[in-house]
Amino acid sequence: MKTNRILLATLALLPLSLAAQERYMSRTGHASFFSETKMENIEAHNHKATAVFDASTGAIEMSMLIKAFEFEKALMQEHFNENYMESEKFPKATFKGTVSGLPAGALTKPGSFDVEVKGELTIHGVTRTVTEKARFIVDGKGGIKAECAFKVKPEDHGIKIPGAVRNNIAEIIEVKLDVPFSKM
Amino acid sequence: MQRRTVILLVGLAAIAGAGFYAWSEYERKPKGAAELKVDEVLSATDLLAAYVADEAAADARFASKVLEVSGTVEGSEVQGDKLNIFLSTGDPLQRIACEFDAASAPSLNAGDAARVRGICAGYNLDVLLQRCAIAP
Repeated sequence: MKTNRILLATLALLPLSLAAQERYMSRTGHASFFSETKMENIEAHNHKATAVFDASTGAIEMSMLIKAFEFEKALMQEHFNENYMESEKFPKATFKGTVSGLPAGALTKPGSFDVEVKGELTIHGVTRTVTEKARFIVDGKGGIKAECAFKVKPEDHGIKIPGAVRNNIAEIIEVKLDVPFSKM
Repeated sequence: MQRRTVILLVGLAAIAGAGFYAWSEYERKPKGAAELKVDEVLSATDLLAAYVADEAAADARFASKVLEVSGTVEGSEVQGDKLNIFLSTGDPLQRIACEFDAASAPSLNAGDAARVRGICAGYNLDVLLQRCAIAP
């Protein structure tokens, strides 16, 4: 609720002249994660992450619905929501932080720009400060996307994996983000 | 001897049955909304209004449920192997986002009236319905 209000307030109150130059938004961010073990591989995709990025300050916010992650197998999806992520209790994962290292005016010309993202990552109701590498890619035709790959340890966010399936789920989960931005 | 054979065969059949059930359960694919019973029928406007009024209460009522939502198509976009069809809510900033498999997605244009069945994933600027189908 709070995340929605912040994003909506950003959308509704931002002066259009400023918004046209500085702020970017996405409603169709792709988030995926991959767990690889000898027992089985588990992969899931969410195509509806939202994000707002202010290029003038570097501020960035992102939010995604846990229930929106789709798995190939129904049982995996059910266990993910009910047993591990407890998505009824913790319906969203969020990130709030800043991007540094993006040159001024970078998003107006084609190129690829490596940046650093630092902020508060909240998963399963547990917030941790993270610093990760990311990349902005500008195609020069109005297309801007941000890519980021990082690793998450479920235990760091209070996610308990029962002993019976411990060997089926990787201790470190690989997460990838691919977020297409458009000007607000 | 005959009795032991019968018991043995019954035991093997039970083990095979349990194995088949475990395998089919493991391999079970998520069902689309078209294969499931509808839990609630409502308009796009009412669905968004419920989430805006009280997100937690709306989640308890709608999340993971099969909804049949009626509204006017605001637009659509292809996203990888998905087709997103957006239903207007009267609020220009928030929509009902209906996710279809692109291969089996309906042909709808902006301004068309539509009734979409989908599994509600919650509210994140848009209210998201997944594994959607057009209501019969």
